[in-house]
Amino acid sequence: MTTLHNTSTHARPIPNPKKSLITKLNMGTGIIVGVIFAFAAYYAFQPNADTAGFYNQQNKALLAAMLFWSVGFLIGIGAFIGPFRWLIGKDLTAEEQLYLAGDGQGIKRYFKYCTDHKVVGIQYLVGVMAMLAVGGGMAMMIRTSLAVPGGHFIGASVYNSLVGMHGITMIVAMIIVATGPFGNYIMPIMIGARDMAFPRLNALSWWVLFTAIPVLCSAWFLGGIPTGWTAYAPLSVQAGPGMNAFVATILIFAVSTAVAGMNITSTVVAMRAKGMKWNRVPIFVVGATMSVALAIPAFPTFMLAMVQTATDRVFNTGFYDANVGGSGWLYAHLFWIMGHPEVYVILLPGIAILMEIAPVFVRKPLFSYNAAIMGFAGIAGLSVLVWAHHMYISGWTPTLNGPFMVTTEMISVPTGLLFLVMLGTIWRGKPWMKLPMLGLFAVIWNLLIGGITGIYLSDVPADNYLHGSMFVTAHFHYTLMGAALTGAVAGLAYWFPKMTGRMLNEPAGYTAFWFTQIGFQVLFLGMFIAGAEGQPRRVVSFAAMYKYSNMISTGGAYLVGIGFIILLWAVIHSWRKGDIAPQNPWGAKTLEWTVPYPVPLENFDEAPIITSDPYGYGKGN
Amino acid sequence: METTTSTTSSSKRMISALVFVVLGVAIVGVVGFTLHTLSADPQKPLYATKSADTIEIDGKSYPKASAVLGVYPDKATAAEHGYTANRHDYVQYGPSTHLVLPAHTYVTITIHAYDSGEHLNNPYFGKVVGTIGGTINVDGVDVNNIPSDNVEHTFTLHGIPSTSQDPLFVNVPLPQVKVDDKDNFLPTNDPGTNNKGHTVTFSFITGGAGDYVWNCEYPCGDGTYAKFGAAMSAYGYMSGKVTVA
Repeated sequence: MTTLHNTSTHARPIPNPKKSLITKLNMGTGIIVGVIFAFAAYYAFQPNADTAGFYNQQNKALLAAMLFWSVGFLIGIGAFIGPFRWLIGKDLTAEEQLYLAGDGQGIKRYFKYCTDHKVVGIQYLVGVMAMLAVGGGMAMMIRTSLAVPGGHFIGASVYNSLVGMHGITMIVAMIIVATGPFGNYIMPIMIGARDMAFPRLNALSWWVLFTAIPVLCSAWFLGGIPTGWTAYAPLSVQAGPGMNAFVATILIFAVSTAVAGMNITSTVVAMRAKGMKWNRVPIFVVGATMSVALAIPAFPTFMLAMVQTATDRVFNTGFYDANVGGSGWLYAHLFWIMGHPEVYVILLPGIAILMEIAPVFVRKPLFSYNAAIMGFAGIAGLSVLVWAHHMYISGWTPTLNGPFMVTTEMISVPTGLLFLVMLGTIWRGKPWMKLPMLGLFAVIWNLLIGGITGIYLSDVPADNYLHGSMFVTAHFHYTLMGAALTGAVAGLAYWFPKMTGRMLNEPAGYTAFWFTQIGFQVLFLGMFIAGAEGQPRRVVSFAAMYKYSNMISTGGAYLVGIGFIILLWAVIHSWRKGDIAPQNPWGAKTLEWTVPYPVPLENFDEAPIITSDPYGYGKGN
Repeated sequence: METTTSTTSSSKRMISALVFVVLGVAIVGVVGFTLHTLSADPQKPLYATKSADTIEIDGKSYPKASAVLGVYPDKATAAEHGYTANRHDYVQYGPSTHLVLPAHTYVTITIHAYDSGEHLNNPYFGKVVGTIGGTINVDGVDVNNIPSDNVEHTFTLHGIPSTSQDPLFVNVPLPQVKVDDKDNFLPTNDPGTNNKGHTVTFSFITGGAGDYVWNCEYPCGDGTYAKFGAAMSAYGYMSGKVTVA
């Protein structure tokens, strides 16, 4: 790739529009206004005699408070100032636009409504790490409770909530683990753009997501989430006030993903550098775009499911109540129409990161770029046609089990293409065994196990036995954690120098890698055994016959926990005091390595023009 | 690859990494133990009282043991009987929902039932199952079934699916305290008549050691519909465990 065309580069004065309201607003004002809105809504929607027979008053007031908190926070941080000023015909001045982009504001910009995609990327990165740490801590407590039969380290009701909170925290974190930090920070630079297509929406997607975090945490103080992360009706409808937090979290999160998905897709479609034809787009960009594009139709169904859960809880509408013509299956369909594509929303960026890494560390072109595209497209297309395999034994139209089994098993074909591309790229290569490359090997193994065990679960007769067991839990952890999370961590190791200007501490990184990967195998292979023997998932008590497999799993979990703490140390320590990174430490050919650290506000001093594909290793360019 | 080395010495780095790991484990541990403490069952297990007597059934001799439970419509009624462990004002069993019974024993349970009721979803749970003789004694009368529109709650004991412990299934329906009797409804320690609650007695034989669960099959929670919320979805009220040891 070459950069040829000089456009604009000159030193700017630091913007200081003192009279503008935007200079006064930050996370603190957001919290203050949000809390005021929450309390106002809570008291405005209190019970009264006229509506007492119709509304479930407690749910109405709590749900209103949570949603108004989100709106209030966004008003308080200044999210709507731009559109408001545009509406009244006084659009933001150039100086104010620069101020919003965080120009010259140092660390303060991370606590403001900042439109710079790099700031948003770092906000996502820190947020994701915090969520993974909390979700991982909950996993440690779950495994401690399951260490021995009848151990009950955590009481049964709290255990139920722990499982649900762990599930939803990790799912939310995993959905954004790659597209959040790297999709925002790296991707625009990779395609030669100066920013995202809609910078204000970019900031909005993060801060909307941020408002969901305290809402979700409030569940702990409202009696917990007793339904698991699937929140099946009617359990969710009859659950206590903590369930409102789950409903509000999903409603808020769905807005965030819709905004982010639309923005990333628009950016890639419309803002690629001159000469970056579709067959020259870096493969990570393709995977991330497929992922968010898949999320755009998927998440609204979950949002709709939660809207109906909310109205069932608040207005007694009965969408899921068979007594009044509703159906519990309706929820299951809406949930899984989102739920299975969501697996690939999580997985695709992780795989795409590894495909980005492999050519760099083997110094070979990506093996069959077209096969990779077909793999991503095939998975994205088929993933919306497989949802009912989660409902084989629910009794819903058993005659459709066969067709859904076929579509589910067909998805292994495009998945196989992705394996082919990864293996073909490293085939007969001499890999440079740095930390990102280790992630590739780990994912090939983990995704193989996760994929093959998924074939058993897609098979109707086998699923009759395995459904609802620990086997399922082990399977999806192999795909989501073993593949997608490991891929994202590899991406962190790969792009850490570009995002922080420092190298990730290698000895600590290697130690963390081996702790997590060995612990992971011990943890989930033990769980496969327990599941194959019949241990049900989500249940606090288990029979004595499963004690050895559970003991092994808990031991593995502790290794994983220590591994991730070491990784967290490595990230924090390296960010503060790590070795200063050169501009292109891996010798990669994609555009992000052509810009210095700190990356300039508009990324490029010269608008790049693309003249070749990004994986031309060994081609003399 | 060229990098500029930072000034932090390797020993300092190692120490800070170790401290960080210890701190991380400690944070998770402290949160875990806090949850452990907060979520601990507030009720102490109820141990069955063993008797010196034995009983012969089908040519086999069993030692005897007994336990007494109550079903209270709310926290206040439970408190009148000295059972104050539960936080919520739900219908509840007491004094504990965790029973510890001896293995291979003829166990007699007495339940003082003080609640009203509506209608069972599933009439099956109106039948008596798994007791000695297939009957229960209600205020001095042996019955093997209670009509589904006259059931207050059930005590339904069953096992966790397992091949390693003996099966155990007992279903005991408890009769309602009628609405007409509510004015005089004051639980006493000697509830012998209808308006002061019912006394239900039944016996069964335990197998080998194992963990079992029991629950009420009458939907008595306060959910917006179906009544499976609140007491029915919280531990320590209308469900619990039985440890045969």
